[in-house]
Amino acid sequence: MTDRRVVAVGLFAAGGGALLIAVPGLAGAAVPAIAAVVLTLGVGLVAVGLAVRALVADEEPLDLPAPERRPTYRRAGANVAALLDDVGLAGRRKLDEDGETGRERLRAALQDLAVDVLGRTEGWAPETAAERLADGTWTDDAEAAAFFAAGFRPPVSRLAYLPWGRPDLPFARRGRHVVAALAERVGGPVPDPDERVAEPTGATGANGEQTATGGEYWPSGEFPQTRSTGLTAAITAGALAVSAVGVGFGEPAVVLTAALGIALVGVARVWSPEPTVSLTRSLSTERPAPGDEVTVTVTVRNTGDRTLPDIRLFDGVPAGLTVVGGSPRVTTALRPGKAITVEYTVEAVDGRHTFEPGVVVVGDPVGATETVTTVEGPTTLSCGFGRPTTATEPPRPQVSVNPGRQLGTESGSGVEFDALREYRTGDPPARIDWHHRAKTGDLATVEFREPRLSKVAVLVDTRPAAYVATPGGVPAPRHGAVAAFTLASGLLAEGVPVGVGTVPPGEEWTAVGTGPAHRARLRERLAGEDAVPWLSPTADPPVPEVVAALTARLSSDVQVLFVSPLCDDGSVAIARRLDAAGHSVTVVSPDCTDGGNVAGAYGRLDRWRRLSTLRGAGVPVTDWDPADGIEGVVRRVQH
Amino acid sequence: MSSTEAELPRFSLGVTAVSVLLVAGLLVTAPGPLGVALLGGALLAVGLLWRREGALALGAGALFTAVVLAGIDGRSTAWLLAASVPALLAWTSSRHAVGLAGQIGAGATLRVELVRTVSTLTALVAGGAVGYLLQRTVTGGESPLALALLLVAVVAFTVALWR
Repeated sequence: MTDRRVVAVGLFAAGGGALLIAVPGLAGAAVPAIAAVVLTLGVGLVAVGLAVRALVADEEPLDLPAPERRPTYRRAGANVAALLDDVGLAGRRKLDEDGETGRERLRAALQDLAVDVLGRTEGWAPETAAERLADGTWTDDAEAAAFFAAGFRPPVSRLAYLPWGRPDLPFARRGRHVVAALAERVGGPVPDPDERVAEPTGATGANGEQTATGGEYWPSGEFPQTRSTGLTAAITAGALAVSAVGVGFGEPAVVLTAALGIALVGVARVWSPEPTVSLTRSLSTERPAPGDEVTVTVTVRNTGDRTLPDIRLFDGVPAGLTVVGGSPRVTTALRPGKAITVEYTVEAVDGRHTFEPGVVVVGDPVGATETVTTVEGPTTLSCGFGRPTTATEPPRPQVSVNPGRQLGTESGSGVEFDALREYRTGDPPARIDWHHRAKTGDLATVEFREPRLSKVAVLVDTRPAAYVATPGGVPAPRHGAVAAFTLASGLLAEGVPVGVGTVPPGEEWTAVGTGPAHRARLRERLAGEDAVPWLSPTADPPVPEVVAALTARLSSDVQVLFVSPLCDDGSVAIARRLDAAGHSVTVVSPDCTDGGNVAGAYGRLDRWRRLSTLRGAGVPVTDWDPADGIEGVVRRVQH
Repeated sequence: MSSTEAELPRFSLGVTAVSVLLVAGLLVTAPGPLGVALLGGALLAVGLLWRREGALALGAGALFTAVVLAGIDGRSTAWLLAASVPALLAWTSSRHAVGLAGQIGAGATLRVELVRTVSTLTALVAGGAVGYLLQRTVTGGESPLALALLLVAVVAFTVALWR
């Protein structure tokens, strides 16, 4: 039935009921009492059914954004945090889908790491290392030694079986000691092995943390969207239930209390405001230096001709910026033509940040429905990516895997003797070796080494696996974009042709070129969010596909500067395969690991292992801590 | 909405507390319903503390049940309608408090809370007044068919508004 018909039935029934109450004699004459009872029971059952449906049919709420902080990125070592967390009492016997318990997987991961680290630091062969691990003689730390030497199920106190609390199980504690012992061998910060690893975060909450992969930072889709807050459904259920109770007890007064609920829902239905708002945004400065605080002033105005009783604004802080003062959220009631202004402060980081459209939620006066919409207020904040600050010094003169001017491998015209070859018709007479002619009687032509500028492609790793960050920090690919621009600028200043791309290669690929206009193009690409986005892309092509796509784009004489955090094995494979394909590869690796806790230390060790593997394979790797600034990297890469 | 551990807006908290006290005060002569109402108040407190809308609905439902129980026990229609208003107000204002704390956090929310409270109260009083007038104009009459038709009317209006 349509709404009108339902309302007509309601009006008819209400009128009839009122009439029968006013003139009681009518009832007996019109219908027998049994009909009334049947009608009551029937409608009562329908009411209860509808009440249940109303409660069940509650809508899925739209996730509102959390603009204060960056999306949560994966932390290096998050996998081992999950493994340590998985070591529960249930895991003592539980088998996983692949037949391995969490304990076995943790042990396999740590054994793998330990054999590798001991091999590199002590020079032990894998077999020796495995033996030393098995007999527990590899370390002085008794707990760490027991991890490999003792079994999977060290005795647990009976208290641990109590249903409350999460006991610190010996197996997990020993695992943490192993990581700490290995970190001590490698050097650098050693985590406290007795500190438990917090559960890995990352799930998308209703209004909370958002992961960079999968979850989106800012709501998108068709706007405005109107949604119920659940009030209508609950009131419907309550009104129907209370009516049924009133009828059951024969108390018309109880049935009348449903009028209160109907009035609330009625107000919401009649006064459901349209989101008629406009948004203007201004910045205290549009070109701050990295680390500067920028004040954002947002004004929201009611442009309609009705009062908006409940308006909530979530300003579209770009994914790369964090709010350090004030709040980008505001709520108020606005009469027509009135406005509210809110101020908050963000900390500038390198990049060109485009503000997202503000999300505005407009509610009715009683809070039964909300209309969510987005309001554009185009604003851009540009930070960093200026001129290179270092003096550009000449690159290494010798044949090198590093970018820069090199001695060419091809012969041609030049000044340095390369070879003597048989004369061919058309060779310039000045290049004929007359001494050779005098000695042998044959014509021969002198070849010189041809000096050539090597071409360099700077590739930033933007695969989902590269999106790691320290807690609350900038993700590695964005650090990579800063490094890529600074390195490319430095090379361009020396006249070296440079191109910029991403791994995997996308639309935003800048071919090798030179000159100030080219430099401006590179800045556009790397400062913006299209080539190196703040949120991890969802597509994750396999390594062979990535390498094939890269080699198809790179001409054979191009050297590669690969900027990657090296937080997965794929990055190592890509660097080695590109190197093998003839693009002499240099890796610059922003260090986005946090060795402060055990999981972070595992991530650090894992990365250290990859760095060593690459260096062992002859690929120069520059380990760069983004906190130190980029200047040091430029100097190290070029010398 | 539990991630934003912001303070709950005070005005809505105050309205909720006053409403619960009002319901309890109205029920002070009936020990059974008073117990149910106090349980409802405790559930509301739990819901506010843990920011759970389910607990809020249960608490307000208990408050309302207490009022209805007392009403069935021979109170006047006017009393029943008047006592239902704070029970419902406690629910809407506590929901609003939790919603605001979750979405906006600590901030200037007094204006929107005032508008919300006044408009809810107006709607409730208007609805109650219509019900009371209906009851006053047509007194007497114990016809079961009349009750059945009233029920049909309530169901029809609720369904029409719900859709």
